[in-house]
Amino acid sequence: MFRYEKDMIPVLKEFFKERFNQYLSVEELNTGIGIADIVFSNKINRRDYYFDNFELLFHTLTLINRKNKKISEIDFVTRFSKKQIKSIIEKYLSMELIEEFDSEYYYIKNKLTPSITEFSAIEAKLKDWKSGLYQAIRYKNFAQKSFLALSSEYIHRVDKNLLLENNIGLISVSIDNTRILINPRKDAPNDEVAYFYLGEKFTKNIFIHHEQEKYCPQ
Amino acid sequence: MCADIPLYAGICINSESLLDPTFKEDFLNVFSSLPCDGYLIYVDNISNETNSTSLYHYFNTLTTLQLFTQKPVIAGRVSPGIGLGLISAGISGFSTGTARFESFYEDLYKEATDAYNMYERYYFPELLGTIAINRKTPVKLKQILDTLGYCNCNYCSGKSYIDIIKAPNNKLHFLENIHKEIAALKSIDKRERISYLLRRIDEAFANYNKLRSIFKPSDYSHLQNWKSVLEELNK
Repeated sequence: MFRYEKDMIPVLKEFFKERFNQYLSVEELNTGIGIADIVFSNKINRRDYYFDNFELLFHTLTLINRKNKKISEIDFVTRFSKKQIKSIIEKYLSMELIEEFDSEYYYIKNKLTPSITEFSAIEAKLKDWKSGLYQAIRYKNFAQKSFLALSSEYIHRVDKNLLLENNIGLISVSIDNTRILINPRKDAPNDEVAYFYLGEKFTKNIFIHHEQEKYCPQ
Repeated sequence: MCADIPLYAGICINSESLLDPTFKEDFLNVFSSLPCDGYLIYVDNISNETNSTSLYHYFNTLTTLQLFTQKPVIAGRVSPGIGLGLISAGISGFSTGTARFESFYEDLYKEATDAYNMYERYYFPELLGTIAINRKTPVKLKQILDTLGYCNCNYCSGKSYIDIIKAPNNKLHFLENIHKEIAALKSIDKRERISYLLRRIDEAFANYNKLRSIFKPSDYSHLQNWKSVLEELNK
């Protein structure tokens, strides 16, 4: 059986790759409401630019993903510093989020879409299932599915009803027989900005790790 | 001219020492005889993690000192909830803030480095305390505000959660709200203050229960300690 929680991570990675085709993963993702042991996604949406600043992304979403499609100068000055505005507009234009309408206005061309399709977040514990459950509940703020992964020898201790009530998944982890005991419903994340932002952070981690792409810092 | 300036005795002790009845008695005898105008007492380490026994003896020592000497006692560097508890129990004042460290411990002043702090603290009257928020990813703040409601103080009203957590907004929000808390507490009859705070603790407990997606029960177990101490003092 496992000696440390971290020993469970490679087993979980392999399991998610085989079972859900989710081969993209980031370990120890700092979410602002706890550090998720491992987060999975199956696809990254390609873009020229990724946001690595929460505030910038927050204002971008309130501006670009709103109903009113006309953007005036006041929309920029109330959100960004004078220094930022020029480069922000250039980025929005290059990402085809906005287009010039006339000399005073821009028009929203496309909404900003998340950089990943969906998240599955996992909290891995050897035996302290309650502490793991509370952490897994937090991950519902940004993930579509949240799981508690527990070493199989302690799985009988878990109150499964409590997990079902909270729509948290349960994975029994062992070297040769990892199984999903509860597969949670896919839910919209509680916090859309957190979902977008952690998607960007996840993407950055994947790109840096794989060194396949040049990440665009702010 | 100097005689007009009140002279306060600054005292620093360890909370564990107050569990010893002989030490506590000596402490009260020695310091009550000092020819000072008041006391500023720092106790290492009174925090939200302090158990109810240590907390009771801490409250009891400070209130007894003020009662015996009839001189103001000020508790140094405590969390806002403990500070409000001390005022309701009868002491004159407390020092607090939204800095990185909410409580006093001696080693804090021995640390040579000024490490970068990733967190800002935000005061929630509904939770009777401050919560550390990651300033670069204030996800936790949004979840709490969405559940408990946004503050309408001068420094939060009309602002997004992104701006609310930025210093000095969060500091000024704290000062305005803690001032209101103390004014409200002091407007209540002295005999009713502890009962008022006990009701506030019950409300805070109910509010924490609404925030299960953020806090686990051990994050607010201090409320139970405060309650048992105040109930004991209210007898």
